[in-house]
Amino acid sequence: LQNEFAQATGVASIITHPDGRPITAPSNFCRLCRDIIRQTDRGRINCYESDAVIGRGSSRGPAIQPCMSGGLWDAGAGISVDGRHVANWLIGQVRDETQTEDKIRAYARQIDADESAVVEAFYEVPAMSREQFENVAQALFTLANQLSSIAYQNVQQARFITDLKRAEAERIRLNTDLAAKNAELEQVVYVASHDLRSPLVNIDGYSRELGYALEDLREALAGAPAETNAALAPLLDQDIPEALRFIRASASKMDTLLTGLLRLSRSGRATLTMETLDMNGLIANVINSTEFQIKEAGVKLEVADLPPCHTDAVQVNQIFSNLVSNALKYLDPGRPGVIRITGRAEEERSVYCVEDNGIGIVPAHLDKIFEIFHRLDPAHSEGEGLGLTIIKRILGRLEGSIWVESNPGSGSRFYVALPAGRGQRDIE
Amino acid sequence: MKGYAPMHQDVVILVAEDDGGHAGLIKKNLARAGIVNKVLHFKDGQEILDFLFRQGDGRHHQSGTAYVLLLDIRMPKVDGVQVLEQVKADPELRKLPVIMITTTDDPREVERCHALGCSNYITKPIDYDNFVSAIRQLGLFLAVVQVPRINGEISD
Repeated sequence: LQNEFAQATGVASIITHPDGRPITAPSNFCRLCRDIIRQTDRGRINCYESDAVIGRGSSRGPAIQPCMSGGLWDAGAGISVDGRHVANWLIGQVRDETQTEDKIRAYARQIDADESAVVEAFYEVPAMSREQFENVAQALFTLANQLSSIAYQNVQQARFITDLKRAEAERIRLNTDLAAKNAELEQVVYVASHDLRSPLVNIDGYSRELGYALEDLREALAGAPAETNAALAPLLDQDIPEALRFIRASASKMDTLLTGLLRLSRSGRATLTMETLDMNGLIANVINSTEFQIKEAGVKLEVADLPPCHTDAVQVNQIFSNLVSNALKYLDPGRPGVIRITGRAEEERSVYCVEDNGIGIVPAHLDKIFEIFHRLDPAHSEGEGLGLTIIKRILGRLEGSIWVESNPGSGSRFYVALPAGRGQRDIE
Repeated sequence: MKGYAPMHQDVVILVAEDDGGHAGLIKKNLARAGIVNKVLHFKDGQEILDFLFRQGDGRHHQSGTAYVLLLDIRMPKVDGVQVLEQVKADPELRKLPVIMITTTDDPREVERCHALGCSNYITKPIDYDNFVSAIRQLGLFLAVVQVPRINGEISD
């Protein structure tokens, strides 16, 4: 750009540091400046100082003044990036009637240059009217300002890109951290449940061995005196068997909890296959596999026409199997059970509802039911208290959600929202 | 059938199990399932490796005797999977039937042991009845399987 500008306007041009030291090679320099003045020590220092002063720039317009070295006309504009002055763009080395042979001869003596060579080179310097040079200087100023603003935009863009890259790197780091934490948690659950199961094998196994020993003891005592048997009867027939029953029931309960924990830790690992799912077919399958329990409980089951959704069939089957089995589990024995499955399509999701007329959930328990190992009625129902916890976790992976509405004494409604089938919006 | 012995009483059952209680239960239930073979107990992975590879001062396996190995996974020093790896990497010992008996039914672990070439995988159940039936199955398995002898006896 510097070269082209110099060629087009017939002036010399150079870009320097703010202190005047050259950055670019000079374009179109006259012999006087290039080969004579700048080759002397005094002359070069004067040139740099002059370039620093003239190139300092202002926002109003170009600086135009005689060079503080050879005295030829020079003009300059500053180039700044983001408010910081980074370079001077200088043009000039033209003369008009203000520069005279006498002046240049005096300067030659001042910088110890050969006087006759200086004069010869002086007459090679292009002559230009003051008005013409001012026009060129104005063009230079406009260009330099344009360059500054382009450079500023580039810097802004570079900063923006750097910020983006930093944010992306941070995101990747957080994701990696999260994956590591998850893996660690799964490992802890795995190791804990394995190591905790190990003593249980002994507790249960040796309780059973004690049971066998007890039977042997009873046989051995068959021939003993009646009073011995009478004295030992409470121990052999009551205390010891009762102790063993409690020990074994607790071991079994603990095993159920540990198995549940393992199941929970594994539920986050299953591979998902997302597809547009015919929910009518899926619910029919769920009902088929629980048909026996439904008939046994004498429940009336109503299933409405259900909208499709885009999700994983295996996981969703587990969700609805669980909800239906919960509905069966918490029916009110005082009235015939009714379970209703309905669904509606919303803009981006399909919302399904499993409704029962069972015992319901008191408001205080509503947010607890999704907690791990929480059970509403441990004494009167089976299960490990993990069903809803696992459902919630699965729905988290499927980008769905679950919530519940309930009236104690008249029933509960569990809502499941899943991403709508692709193309659903097109149909609507 | 040269080199192979049917499951006779001379087949020695090796139990590598760091939990003395588990080892005791395994022995009692093998007996209850009618298996009266000699049982040797090893309390960690290193002990069983020393026995199989005839290292160290302890017991070493005998040429011409047929063995089966019941192997726990989580053991101190050398764990069961490492033992399985080393046994299956040895050209002679690889013929030794190895049955993993462990507390985890983690599918990844089961798959890994099968990939390494274990003969069977039994999860130690808490429920005693299941445990007995698992041991019975094991007894059945031991009675049916053809146990190769290690060292010399295999080759013609």
